[in-house]
Amino acid sequence: MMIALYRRYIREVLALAAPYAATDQQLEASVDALVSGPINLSLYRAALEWNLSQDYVRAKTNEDTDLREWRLTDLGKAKQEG
Amino acid sequence: MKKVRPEAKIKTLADAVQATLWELLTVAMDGREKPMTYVQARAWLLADHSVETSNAALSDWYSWYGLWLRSERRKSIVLQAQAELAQADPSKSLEELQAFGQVLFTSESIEEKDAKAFSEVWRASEKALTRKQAKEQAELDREIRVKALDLDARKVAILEKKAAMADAATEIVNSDASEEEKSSKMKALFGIGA
Repeated sequence: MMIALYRRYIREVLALAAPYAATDQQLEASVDALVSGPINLSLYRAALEWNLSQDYVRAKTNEDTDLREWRLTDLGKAKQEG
Repeated sequence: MKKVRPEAKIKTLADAVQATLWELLTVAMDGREKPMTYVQARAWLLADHSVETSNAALSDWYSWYGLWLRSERRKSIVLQAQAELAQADPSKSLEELQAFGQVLFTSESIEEKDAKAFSEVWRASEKALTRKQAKEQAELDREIRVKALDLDARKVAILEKKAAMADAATEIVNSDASEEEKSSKMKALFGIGA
């Protein structure tokens, strides 16, 4: 149940940021703001991996900032809106 | 039928209602000393908007709405800064403006500065980058020139050596030495069979 929440929160944060991408730090901090209590980093990482495996999210390094940035894929947007 | 999440019910309320709910939970209004508690806000939702919800759902919505507000504020600043930049430098392409917008959106200090300041900082950094690139190019040009001169000097040295060998060979050929001696001297000159 908890990991399902984390998976959803990750997509919600990225949907809020769209059309922009969120950095690793922004994504984690925003998910932290959504979960009740302190963030469980193991669950968070597993949830991120799961979203990646489902092709709901993608990461790319921004050449201007050298920071990894996350955004929803079209599949992720559809999942979010569905 | 898909189950509607509890906090999603609040998210579907009109924007103005959600904004009011946020204010009620965040600031003291209507003569109150403190913002509303979740219990009071639930009673308000039920009485004024016929929405029944739980404290947990309200808490989830409150966290989400706070993030939404911050995100919208950032987007608004980014849009303003993009407009400022486009106005200050009309040659900027859409891709350049989008790249600028993305960097700005992820900037830590975005909420502490105004759009104009960001636009100016970006342009200044671009100029600095251009200056740096020009300096690097000049350095590269200088290195290429030095290498070209060095190459020319080596070519001249090789040509001079060849000319000297040709002179020596002519001298051997025109000498009174026997054919055997000439052959031996030629081989020595050109380093053959040593």
